[in-house]
Amino acid sequence: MNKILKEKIREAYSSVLPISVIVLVASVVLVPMPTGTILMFIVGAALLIVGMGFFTLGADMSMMPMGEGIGVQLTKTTKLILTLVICFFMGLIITIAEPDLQVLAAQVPAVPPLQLILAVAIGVGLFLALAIFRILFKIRLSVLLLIFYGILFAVIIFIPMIPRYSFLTDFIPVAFDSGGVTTGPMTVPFILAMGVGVASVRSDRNSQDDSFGLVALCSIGPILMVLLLGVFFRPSGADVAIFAIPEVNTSRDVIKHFAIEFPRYTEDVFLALAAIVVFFIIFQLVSNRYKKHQIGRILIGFLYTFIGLVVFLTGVNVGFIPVGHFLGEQLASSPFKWILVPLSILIGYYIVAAEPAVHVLNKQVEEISQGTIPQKAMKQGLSIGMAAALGITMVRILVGIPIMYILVPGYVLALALTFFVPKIFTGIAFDSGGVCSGPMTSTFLLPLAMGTCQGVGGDLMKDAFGIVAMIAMTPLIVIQIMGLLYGHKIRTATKRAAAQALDSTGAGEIVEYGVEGSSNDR
Amino acid sequence: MIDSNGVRIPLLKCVIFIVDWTKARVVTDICEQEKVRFHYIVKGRGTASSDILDLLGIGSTEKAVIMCLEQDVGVAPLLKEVTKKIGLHNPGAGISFTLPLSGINQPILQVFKVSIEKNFKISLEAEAEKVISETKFDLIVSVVNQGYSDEFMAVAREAGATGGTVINARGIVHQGPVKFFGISVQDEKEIITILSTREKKAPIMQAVSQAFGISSKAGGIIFSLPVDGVAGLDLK
Repeated sequence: MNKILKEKIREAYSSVLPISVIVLVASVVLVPMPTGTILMFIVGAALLIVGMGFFTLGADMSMMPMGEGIGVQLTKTTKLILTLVICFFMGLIITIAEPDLQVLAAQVPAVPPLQLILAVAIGVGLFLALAIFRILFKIRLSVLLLIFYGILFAVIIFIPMIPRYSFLTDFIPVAFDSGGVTTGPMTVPFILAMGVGVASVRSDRNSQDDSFGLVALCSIGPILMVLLLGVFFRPSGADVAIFAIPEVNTSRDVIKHFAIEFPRYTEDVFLALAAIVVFFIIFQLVSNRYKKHQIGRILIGFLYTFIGLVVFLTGVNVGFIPVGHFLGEQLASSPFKWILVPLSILIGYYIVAAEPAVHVLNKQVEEISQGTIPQKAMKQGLSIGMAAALGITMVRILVGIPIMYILVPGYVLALALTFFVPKIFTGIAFDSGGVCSGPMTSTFLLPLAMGTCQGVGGDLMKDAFGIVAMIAMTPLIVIQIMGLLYGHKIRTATKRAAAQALDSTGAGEIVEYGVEGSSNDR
Repeated sequence: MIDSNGVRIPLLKCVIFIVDWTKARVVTDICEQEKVRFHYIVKGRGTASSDILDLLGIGSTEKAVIMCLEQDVGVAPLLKEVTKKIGLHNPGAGISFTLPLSGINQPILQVFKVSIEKNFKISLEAEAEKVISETKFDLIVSVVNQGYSDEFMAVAREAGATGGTVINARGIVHQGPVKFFGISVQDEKEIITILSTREKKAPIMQAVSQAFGISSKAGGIIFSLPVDGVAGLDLK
């Protein structure tokens, strides 16, 4: 069998299988579930595997070369204003296209969806331009992160103290959510690749460090913009739609549920990709960068991405939402509430692999570091991060700790670490925050948290929604700690190398081998 | 080789392995274990065996290009070990070949002088030498502008090339790079390496330099290097 195909299939099922098995076992042992719901979950998991395979192959073939090409070409134009304007519009268009965002916008009735989407898109656009500006002017990523997270937390902490704006407290989770979900499967491959492209034309020593960090900045933009929007719109406690467990009796019902939803996601993904394809065509006409063969491959890649995302989103939205919700609610109202904590940690550990954008990040990291940061290590780091996030969230929901008590120290720690960690890890860590919170989070983990919240009778807006914020935060700390260990390892290695330093006598001397000599002189 | 003071100078070879990216670790571990100094790793991309596979995105695999320096007497055991661990004799598993050096800076050589005694013994095991086939090969190296590697390989395949590896690179122009706010912007290049038998070398080089030579849009620079040992290439 074809080597790449085999590799992709293996990657897809090994990403989805563990989490499916855990949920299935939990549904047998802990919470007996209606057969229909389970059947839907199994079908959903199967779709996930197929979708994931197509998506990662498609992203490799289309989104990555395109993002990289645009990054390179933008830098080459050497016109600063033009570059920044193009970046702004690119961020804008791609964000509007992100399917996750539309789902989120529909769930916040206090603000008209169009305004919310536009606000988030403008936020991403502005910060994408800022991120490129940073790479060009070699501004340290940690400095910008410190400034903008500083502003963000000042806004969150102090504005609600003004009585007129006290309503903003309820709006904060939604703002954090939009930051997390906007950097989803559509934007991440593209923005990541763009950073690599921009950094690759630089020939100075630090260029690889600057390949990452774009997604990180692009996740802050939406939070700030949505908070700003909140100031103007005075949302009165954004309500969230409660999921109803669908009535499923026969296997035909199962298929029907998927069939009903299928056209919706087809349309969403089609619109999203169409915007990017149009962008690609314009880019190609202007720059003439890609040759015939590459164009063919990129277009087929778009087709794969399209198929992959439609199948993936249908599977996860239809098959996973009810199970997550049911699992959380039943367990939380049972006497063994505490079991939710270890179970969530287990789920968190294995669910990272099922987020499509995570594979893109891990691969990119391995590529840029020429293998020194292997995909396996990244995956493990993110798994630990996600496990911690879910564990904390569950404890928080069960006990009822305000989210700020965890977010503030968490971010302070994450930002403090940026000063001690090798630069490339700061970029990767803050990128992974946005990358981890993708469609799996919004369709399985969020319902799980909401179900749990309902089960224990907590406040949905305050407790359940913090899960996205938490998932976006813990990787910042875990990956940076990984970087700290890595930096330590490198230092001891160089020390060891220095100890057995080369004898530098005759450093300028060259020993000549006659080419003839090499074969005759044995 | 004996220098002016009558001291034996170790004869070095540049050993290059091109294997699947996922197998890179196996090779570097062997290098580590065999105490091969100075191994460097670069990410490359294999070329598809057909246009259709390439278009479908399942044609070209990611490759690791690993370069290291080893004494000629150490090359055979090294290749033998890698061949055994990776199964280089299987088609598509990878290739390795050695290039003779024509010069090296003195301090690097010092490292090898230490281990020369040990290696001297190995050289007595003449049978190990047989791993390297005696056929004459050449490495065709081409540097073209970004984006031409696919078409380049199509032409090369027609002229008899069995496969190649593409490495992304940056050109350094002699006028000095364009500056953009203090950042030097460099031309992107692709380095295409093709290992071929000596008979096929000329036709391949002729074909590609006709289509992608320096005067074409691809601006190709094409040259070949003598290869003195090969393992893992299945050429009938």
